[in-house]
Amino acid sequence: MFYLNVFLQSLYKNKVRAIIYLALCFMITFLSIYKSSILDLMKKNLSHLQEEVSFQVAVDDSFSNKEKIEKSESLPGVTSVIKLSSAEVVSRLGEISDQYDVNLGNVLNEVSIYKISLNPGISIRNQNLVRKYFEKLLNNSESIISPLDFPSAALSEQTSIFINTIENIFKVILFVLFLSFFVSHYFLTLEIFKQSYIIENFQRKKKVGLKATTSGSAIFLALIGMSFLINYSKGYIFLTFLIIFFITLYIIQSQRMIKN
Amino acid sequence: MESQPISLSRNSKTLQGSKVKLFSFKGVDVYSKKNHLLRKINLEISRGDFKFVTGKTGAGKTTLLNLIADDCPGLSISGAVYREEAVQNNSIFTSRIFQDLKVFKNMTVLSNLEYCFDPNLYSRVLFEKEMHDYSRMLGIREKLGVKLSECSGGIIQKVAVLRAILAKPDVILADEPTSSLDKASSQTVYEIFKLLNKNFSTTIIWATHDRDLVRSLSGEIIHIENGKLAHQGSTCFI
Repeated sequence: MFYLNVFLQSLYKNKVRAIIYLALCFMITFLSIYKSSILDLMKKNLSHLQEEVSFQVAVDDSFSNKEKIEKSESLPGVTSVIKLSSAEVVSRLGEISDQYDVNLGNVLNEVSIYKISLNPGISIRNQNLVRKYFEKLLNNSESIISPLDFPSAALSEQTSIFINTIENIFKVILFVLFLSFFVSHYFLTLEIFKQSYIIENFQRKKKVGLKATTSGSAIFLALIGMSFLINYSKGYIFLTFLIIFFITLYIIQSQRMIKN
Repeated sequence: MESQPISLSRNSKTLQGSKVKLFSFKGVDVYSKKNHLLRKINLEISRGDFKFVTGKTGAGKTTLLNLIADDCPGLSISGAVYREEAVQNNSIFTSRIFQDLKVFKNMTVLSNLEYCFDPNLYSRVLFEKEMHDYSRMLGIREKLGVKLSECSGGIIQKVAVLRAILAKPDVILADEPTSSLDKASSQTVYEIFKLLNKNFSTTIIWATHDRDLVRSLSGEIIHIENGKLAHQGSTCFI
């Protein structure tokens, strides 16, 4: 506890270095814990560009099985069933209606339009099966079913490249943060060793610097290590080795400082 | 100087009062990469010694103190060096007054003195009592809450002296401990050291280049010239 106290006191007495050190530590921890969540969120937001397969269904308002359409969200392979608002349809079809001089407002008062989105992970055969289900469901009514709408391959590829780039940027940021963390740790350690030299000269204790930095930094390294363990079970062996590498460097440096 | 009697309490369990050889150097040479700093040093230091190390600037006084403290980074040492086992395992403890003082100027006087607080030696109450007693003797009682960066060189030196005393050492290695002090303050430091030496057999090794100061005090001297031990004996030599 004494050595941990020395470490914490030197954090307190070197406020600028301590703030940088703690900020870097928490940034690494935060990023490594929430990296996958942030990427998932981005992927989800970009999924309409990348992956969505869908078709539209327009049914007469007198159709009695509208509820069945709305409940079809629970069908395997269907990700969402959204009833498009009149305004949305008008905005999408505005140009066409102007060209053909059709008053869409009158038409849409009598028609409901649904967008059925499918999971892109299922096969094309299954996507067609879902569409056929709707054909059967709407067999005896005045309805229109659009063909399956696949995303543009080029757009999908661009989105995929964009997400990969973001993922790589995350890795680079994490690496830079990690390096900065160890540099700030080194400078903090210098201060601790200065203080420990004084402590060793005025208290009956030996190797205070090494013990204080080891006990103090163990907490922060454990925090970072835990965050990595939580998120990455594999594929980040490189980072684990990096941590081990820097810890080894740190121990060697500490030994040198003790000798000097 | 505020002269108020103080009660000096010690719980030292180590060889108190006995004349035990703590350090012995026979034919010891100390080299840096380019210089021969100490030559053929033959010296013995025992429990309860009060010695002045004299010599001109650059004669090797600080190197000799570093040698005694076993704090010679980057230097080569040859010859027979003996340190009492109790010295090596810290049960005979050496504290130092550094020539460059090594205080934290961004901290208060009190924070600097707190570095000596060893719960194995003191209760908090006793530590504070002794700190206040000694600081009153040295005339820095009112400065405890002041940052060292705002203090004069003399006050900073007194803090360094007080820090060495509060560590309750068995040996004090003082490197120019009064270089920034006036004669009266130097006399006070000497009296405190003498008191520790007499009451607790604290070994005092005091390095100074001030011949007048040594002449006015009593003790043994170790005179160094160009890294050689030129004379050992009483201050009458000066």
